Amino acid sequence: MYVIEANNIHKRFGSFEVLKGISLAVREGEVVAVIGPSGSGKSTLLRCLCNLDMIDKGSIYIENEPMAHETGSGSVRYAPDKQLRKLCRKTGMVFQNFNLFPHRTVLQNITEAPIAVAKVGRREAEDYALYLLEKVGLSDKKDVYPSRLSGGQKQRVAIARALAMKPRIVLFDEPTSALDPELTGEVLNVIRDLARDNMTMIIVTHEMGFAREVADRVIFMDEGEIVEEGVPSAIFTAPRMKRTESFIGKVICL
Amino acid sequence: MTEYIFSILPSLLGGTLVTLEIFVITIMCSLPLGLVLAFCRISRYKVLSKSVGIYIWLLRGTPLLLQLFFVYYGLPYFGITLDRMPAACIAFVLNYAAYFAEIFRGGIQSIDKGQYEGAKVLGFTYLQTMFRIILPQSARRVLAPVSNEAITLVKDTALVYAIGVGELLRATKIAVSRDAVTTPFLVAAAFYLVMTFALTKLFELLEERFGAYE
Ligand SMILES: Nc1ncnc2c1ncn2[C@@H]1O[C@H](COP(=O)(O)OP(=O)(O)O)[C@@H](O)[C@H]1O
Ligand SMILES: [Mg+2]
Repeated sequence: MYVIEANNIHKRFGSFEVLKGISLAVREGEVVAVIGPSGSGKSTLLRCLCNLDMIDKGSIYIENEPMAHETGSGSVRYAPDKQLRKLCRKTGMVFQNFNLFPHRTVLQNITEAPIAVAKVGRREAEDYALYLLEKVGLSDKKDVYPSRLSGGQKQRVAIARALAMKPRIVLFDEPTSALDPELTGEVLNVIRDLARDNMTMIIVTHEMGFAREVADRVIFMDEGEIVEEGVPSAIFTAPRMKRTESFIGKVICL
Repeated sequence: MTEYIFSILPSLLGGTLVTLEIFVITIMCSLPLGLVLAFCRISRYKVLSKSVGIYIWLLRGTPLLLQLFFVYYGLPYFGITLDRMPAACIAFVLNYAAYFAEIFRGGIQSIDKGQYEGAKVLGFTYLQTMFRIILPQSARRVLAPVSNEAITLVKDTALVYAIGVGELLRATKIAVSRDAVTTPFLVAAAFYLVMTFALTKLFELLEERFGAYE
């Protein structure tokens, strides 16, 4: 069974087709890294998988349940609202810009959704939040507001917040791109730990070394298409496609 | 002098009570009504959003005094006759709700869309997102403009004098005419200043409380 399965998804903004038929299936425990030039549709792909953007064609299944599927006439039908929210709770999302709630403390940021959405008791939610904060190394920050945190700390809280809903898969959209270089390590370490714990993840990243190290599979996207995919060693050392080779050549030189 | 001031105090205080009554009723009703109108204004339903847009345009685009006259003197022609005080309160609530609606709309729309997305991926419904995430942050941002409006309202209450409601200014004017002195004006001014000062302090406290996270 796949945790998430997208078949031939298309997405357009106006007349501009951003995703031109992407198919992607992720197995439990698998870590998929998505790389590709800016504007190639990586963020849009993740946003479609967690229902922040709606697809125009194709289908998306989460643990075999349809989030969106194509009807006979070729249009896409999404699951009813309630079902949709239930399915989307199985996917966690970590944004480039964290999107923490500034009016909530670190602890409240993490417990807000479990209490309000998953209807977990406050005590239980807090206990789990404290456990997660320890995992990301921020136990001492539980009562401060996000404005007092560094970028790296914010992102670690955002990861804890996503994990608090016990998602089956976590999507990362360039989790370290908004960070000062010296702060990327602490965030990558947390993701590394998750990989070690067999968390299923899709990670959009420009950190090629990191992708190579943690990913089971690397997907190279360009202009809304998957150009090439394979195990990291193959993609990074022996790409089959010219476009992959030139992209990797460029980023490694940088 | 002090003796004279003491002699007019009861009637001025009585007027102040009516002023405060109009103020409290207007605030209590126009804030929630303004919030509802703001939601309508940003709604995807074009008819709703457009109608509320027209409502806001009408009420902000014409004098409050005219609206007051319309409710008190005009509505009877449509078969609705209201006493002075209800007429005054209705006109004020409808007018202030329009101003608050625009302030709230601005406050809601100033929140980064990342907040909506962060909430959505965690499974919040639209209403949960609004009440738990968006509005608490908007509250901080609208406090200053709301405070401005509240202070304006204290002074606008004097307009109801025009339809004969016995508020502070009317009580003052009666004393001035009767005793042929101007002292009551100064006392009334002091009353208004005390009320607006108290409001300013109250909003400063609120801003501190709501801004604790910054
Ligand atoms: N909401 C939107 N409206 C219009 N165009 C968009 C929108 N979001 C993304 N795009 C366009 O889609 C393309 C792919 O964007 P994106 O998925 O963010 O790429 P990536 O994450 O790979 O850099 C870009 O050209 C971008 O301008
Ligand atoms: Mg992107």
